[in-house]
Amino acid sequence: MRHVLVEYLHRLSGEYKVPSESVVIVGASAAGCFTAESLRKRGFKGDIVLVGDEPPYDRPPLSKQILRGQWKCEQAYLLPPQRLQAIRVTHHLLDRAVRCDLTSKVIETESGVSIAFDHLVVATGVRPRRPKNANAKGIFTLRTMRDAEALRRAILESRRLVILGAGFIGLEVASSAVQMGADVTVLEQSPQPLAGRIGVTAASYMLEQHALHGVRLLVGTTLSRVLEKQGSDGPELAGVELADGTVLETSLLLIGIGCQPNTEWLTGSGLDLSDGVVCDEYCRAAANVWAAGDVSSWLHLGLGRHLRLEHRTNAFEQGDAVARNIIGKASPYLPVPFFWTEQFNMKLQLAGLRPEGAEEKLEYESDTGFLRSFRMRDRTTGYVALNAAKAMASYRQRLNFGPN
Amino acid sequence: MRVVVHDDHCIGSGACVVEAPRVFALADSGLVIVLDEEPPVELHDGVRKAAAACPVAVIEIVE
Repeated sequence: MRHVLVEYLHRLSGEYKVPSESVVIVGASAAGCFTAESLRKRGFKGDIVLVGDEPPYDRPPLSKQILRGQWKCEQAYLLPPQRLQAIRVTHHLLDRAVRCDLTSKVIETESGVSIAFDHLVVATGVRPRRPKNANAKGIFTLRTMRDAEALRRAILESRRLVILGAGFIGLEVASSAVQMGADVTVLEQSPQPLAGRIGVTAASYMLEQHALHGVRLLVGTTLSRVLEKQGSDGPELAGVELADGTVLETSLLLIGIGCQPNTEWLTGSGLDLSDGVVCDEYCRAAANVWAAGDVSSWLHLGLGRHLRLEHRTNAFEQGDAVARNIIGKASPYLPVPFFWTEQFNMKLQLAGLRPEGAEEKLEYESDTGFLRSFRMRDRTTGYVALNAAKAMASYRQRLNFGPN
Repeated sequence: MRVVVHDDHCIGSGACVVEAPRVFALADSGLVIVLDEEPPVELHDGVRKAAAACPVAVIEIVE
């Protein structure tokens, strides 16, 4: 309706200017915030509306500086309030989108607000997966600032923590919790944690360091049952039972077994939601509908397949790519994936990918670290660096995932 | 132009060094150091590219 009216006025006066377009960004974390920043940096003059159920903050510090109490929560802000004003972003924070109608181009929020858009950017991210019936007090996941603060209090109180899943979240929390003086046990189903992602050498090195720092890692096993006891206000965690019947007593369990995309609010919109929001090579899910960050599964033309990356670096780069494609002529998004993790005294970076069965080669070694390459069919597909960030900075430039 | 780096958040990607090697370098820790906080005009383009290329957006330009 608005467009018809604008068109009418335009013809009527002969000089009425069609207002610039509006972009509504749903999700106010890294991908959403950087889309807004980048739109303005690139000269976008229209309205930008940011909708999200939390204020904008960065997530990588949650398992590290925030959990260990080294940072106050303000230090993790992505866009301080004055910055949002400076780049003229209208925000609906502490609200969330609950419905989306692509025909009338409007979203509705939980508080009942309807927001019309010309362009919609979906940046609603992911949330941790949780096994069914794992709701007793003392069972945690870690994704939000609130999660991190609650987990911090619980660790300081109980000093004993069981972690399900030796992925990056699980091991980062293990490292932080040990530094906080806790006794930590990590359970992992796979016999070789991390190896699929970063290669056997880097994985063994990291797990050895965990062992040296006192983390107890139980591989090839999983939790078969959560043991509860009745607490003063509902069921409380008492322990976990492993597949072989072993019982570990604990009042604190962190679950780090992966995430699922937040796309429920798009159900019925007509978008392909088979793995997050499925997009073309331009990060476009439908005409004028885009997706960035953890929720976006886009066609990487250089790799010839869809990719969905839950990395902080991708949130930034893809937000920037979406902003570029909204403003100008769309170009395919062709990043070299990059992520990092910090555990104890180790800083690990991975650039590119490690395909199943890749050959590994040592490229660089120093007193403190190393850098290894992954090769597949005579082509280098990635590098992993352990305490070798400086070397990584130059090796990384050699990777190019553009179409051949 | 003044260059401010919020190095708490630096991840040592080195993207800035590629764009503006006379203004940014990586220390042995792998994290960024600023070589010239008030770079001359001819380097401003590079600094802007570096700020845009930083994957964690820790480079702030005050003009």
